[in-house]
Amino acid sequence: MSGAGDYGVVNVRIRAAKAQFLTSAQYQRLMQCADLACLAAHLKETVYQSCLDDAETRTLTPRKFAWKLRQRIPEKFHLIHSHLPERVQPFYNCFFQYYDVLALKTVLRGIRHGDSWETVRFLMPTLEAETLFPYEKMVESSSIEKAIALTKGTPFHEMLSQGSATYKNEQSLFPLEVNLDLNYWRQVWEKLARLPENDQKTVAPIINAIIERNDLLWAARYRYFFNLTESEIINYTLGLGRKITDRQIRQAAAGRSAVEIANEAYPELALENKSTLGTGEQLSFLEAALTRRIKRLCELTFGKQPFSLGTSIAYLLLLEYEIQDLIILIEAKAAGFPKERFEPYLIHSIQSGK
Amino acid sequence: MPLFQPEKMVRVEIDFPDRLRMEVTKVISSLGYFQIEDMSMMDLRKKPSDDQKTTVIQTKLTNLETLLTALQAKLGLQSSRETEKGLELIEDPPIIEGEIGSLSEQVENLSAKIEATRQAIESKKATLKLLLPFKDLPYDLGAIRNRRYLYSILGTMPTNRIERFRSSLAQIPYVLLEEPRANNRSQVLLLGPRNQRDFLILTARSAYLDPLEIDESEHGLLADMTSNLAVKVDELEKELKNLETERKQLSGSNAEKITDWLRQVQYSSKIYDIIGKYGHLRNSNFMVGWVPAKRKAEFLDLLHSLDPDILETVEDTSEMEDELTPPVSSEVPFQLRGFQKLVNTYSTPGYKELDPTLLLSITFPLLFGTMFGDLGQGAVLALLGLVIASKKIKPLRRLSPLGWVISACGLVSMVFGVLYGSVFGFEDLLPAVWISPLHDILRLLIITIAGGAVILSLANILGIVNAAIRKDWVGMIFGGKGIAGLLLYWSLIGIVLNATMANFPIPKAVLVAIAVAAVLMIIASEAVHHLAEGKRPIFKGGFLLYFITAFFELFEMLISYLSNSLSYVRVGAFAVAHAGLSQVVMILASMVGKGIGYWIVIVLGNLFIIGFEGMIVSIQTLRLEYYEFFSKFFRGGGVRYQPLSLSGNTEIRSKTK
Repeated sequence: MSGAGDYGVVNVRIRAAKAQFLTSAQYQRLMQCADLACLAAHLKETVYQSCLDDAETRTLTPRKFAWKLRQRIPEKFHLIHSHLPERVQPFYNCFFQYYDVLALKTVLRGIRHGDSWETVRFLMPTLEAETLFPYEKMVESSSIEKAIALTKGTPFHEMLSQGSATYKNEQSLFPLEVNLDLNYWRQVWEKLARLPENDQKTVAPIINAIIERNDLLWAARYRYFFNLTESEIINYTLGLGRKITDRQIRQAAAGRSAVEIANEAYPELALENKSTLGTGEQLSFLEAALTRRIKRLCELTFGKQPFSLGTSIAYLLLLEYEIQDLIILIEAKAAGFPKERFEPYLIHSIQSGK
Repeated sequence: MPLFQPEKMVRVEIDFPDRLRMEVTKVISSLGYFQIEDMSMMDLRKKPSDDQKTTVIQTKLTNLETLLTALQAKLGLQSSRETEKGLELIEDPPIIEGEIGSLSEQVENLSAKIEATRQAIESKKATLKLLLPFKDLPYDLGAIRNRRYLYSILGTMPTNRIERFRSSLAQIPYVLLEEPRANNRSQVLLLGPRNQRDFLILTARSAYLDPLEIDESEHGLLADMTSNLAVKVDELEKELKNLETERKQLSGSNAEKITDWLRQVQYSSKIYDIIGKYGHLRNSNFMVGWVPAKRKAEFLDLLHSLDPDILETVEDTSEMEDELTPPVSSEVPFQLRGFQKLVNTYSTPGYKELDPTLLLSITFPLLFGTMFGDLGQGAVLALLGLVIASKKIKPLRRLSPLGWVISACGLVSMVFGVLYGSVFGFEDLLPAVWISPLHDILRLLIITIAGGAVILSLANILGIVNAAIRKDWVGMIFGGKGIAGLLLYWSLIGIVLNATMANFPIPKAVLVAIAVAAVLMIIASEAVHHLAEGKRPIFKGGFLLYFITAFFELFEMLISYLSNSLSYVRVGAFAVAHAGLSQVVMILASMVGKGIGYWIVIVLGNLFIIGFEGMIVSIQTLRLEYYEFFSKFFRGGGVRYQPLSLSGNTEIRSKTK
């Protein structure tokens, strides 16, 4: 059995959940808020009410605010997970491990900076109840090596243990973090190949787009921020995408503009190469544009093949992007930035209402 | 009354010249009944230079003790706890310092050799572990390393990164040999131009290639290297074995000597500790301590026989100032030691008060037995207590004093079991000689309240006696815990009885008059106290404040009398609960049927009652003793008698509160 029989229930659930995404009118109201209290008050009138119910608006810090909103992600993950066919659950679980990768990176950075659990906790995605990792104990261990030893029995332990020696020699978290990312996306890619054809067809374009975006941005950033060589950048990228090739990654590593490469790979984007901006800022604009492209792919999945795994993955990503936008709003409002300063980084396009 | 009052002590001050310091110390510390006080703060000497010498000796002894303890640990020797028979005081540590130092050096060298060999074994084993996956590769490590135009990296990397690694190397000519291994990793040998060494190292690192880091001294074919290393590990392990045998021999031949040294050093160190507690007059030393009064004559004879220059002053406790606190020695029969422990858990009895141990050993089992009356269950507890007290069960040896407590409680439970007519929860096997808790609840509760009133009155009488011992006459007569308090309590009971009993012999007016008189006495107690001691003002804070304070204190006292008396209702209530719980077990058993199941439920139910209810009743009993009984007369806060005793073991016990 496949298609409607397998995905009937989950499809209904996802469509109901999708209808709860914030509308453009709601976005407009949030944009007009002058401060965090106003933002929280408006969000309490939306589906985020359940996350903010117990929050004391006056004492809410941006960090805690964002952390509370993120509670919606594991909640929805479970809702979908329980209705998915068993054969696709390993992929779905593997995909959700993205939040563990994020959390591990946050924990390792926290340990490196000597932060307490109370500080690190609110920087992490909300997943404590779902995770295999003893994050609190890891932070309390106050040592990268000890924290890695505590991950024994988890999927990333072997990889982290191998990275532990590198960390000891280089005293830098960079190789460890890159390894976590590469390892995670390789696993997703490998598990994608094992999905039934119908599911693979709908999920592959999304994963492919994410990997291409990552490869291009990693290559440009490693070159710009870390001054790495071409061969190092090749090793620190995946090279699995169809439209962003190794040739282009090498070009990015050699210094060619990432915006140019993106326009070459995706002519429909027609991105403006703003030479007046710094490379760092340009890369942030590019990231938002490429993420918007992934968002569009996710939205298309609902029309193409609704009875497949694609809609579940697309829904999770759309939710993640909505929360990312809200976090940008929270930080911008807390810092008192004008609209022009943060709007270009939003994934949701306010003007068009899409 | 040795069971009620602590042993009488006398305070002794001994004055002796410097030349007798060691002799006096040795004698005093070996007596086993002299408790020393620290008088080191008293120093009237012009030049206390002698202290420096003592300090130097003490430091040297401490160092020697550390050295010898370390030696014992390094040679794996057990610490000895034999007696000090034949022990001598070390007055000049350098005499043995040399010998100990030389032995210590010998052991240090040997230990260092053993440690170095161990580390060498670990290091070789680690290299071997690194090389083992490559042992089948037909390469000469030396040859690979030392090529003029070639640079090589041998190591392992994730198998799924190899393709990407090849892609990253595309800019230069290279050879990459790979051999998949376990855990998704592969062995790889990367060969490239030597002039691209930095590129190769950087690229390999970014591909997460772990290079094989082998000491430059290791060379040859990989297969040969691994077998050579295995041989080296074997050789080192043999060497380690020889070194350990040597250490064992050294340990065997010096064990006795080291143990003797250590005991002598510890003994001497403790002697110097005692010396450190002496006070100093201008030309002599003096020590102060406590001796049981019955040993006074023996002690003085001993001092006189030592040297005529020793002067002593003996002060009887009746003559000494109130600030001085004589230590309390309460010797009780070993059967009562468990009860003594319970008393000490509350507080150590003071020197000037009654020791409640004997009273506790009567009231505790009595209260327990009343609440837990059952012939069979009591017999089980009594037997269990005897087994624990006999010290036959090793893990329970430390609890042996409590064995007697359990046993006594069990015996009284048996008596009450007969009085209640209860055997293992069966209420119909024996006739109730006195009362059946489930059938005469009200009478039982009234009797227990009456029993409580008797115990509280006893506590009050003991409070009066303690006040007399302390010579606190005002407190004894006027205090809430004195005669006035007792009269008030009794008159209040009398008023209640008069109201409820038709033929109560004392008229109500008399009782009210006594109560009013007692109240006035209690209110006046502080003022009388001030008058008696000449303290002014008589009414502290003015008459009004004094009166209000006294009134509320009196009110609080009345409430406490009421709550304390009613507290004893729990004794009856628990007796009823016990019978009720037994009934539940019977009902459960009859629900199972009449076969083996019935008896299994009976046995398990009884065990549950003995364990669970027994524990609850013990806690309730302890509560009644501590809060209702002890709080009325027992102050505690005494100092335990712990005399110096260097003759029986190596420990000098010090005064502790």
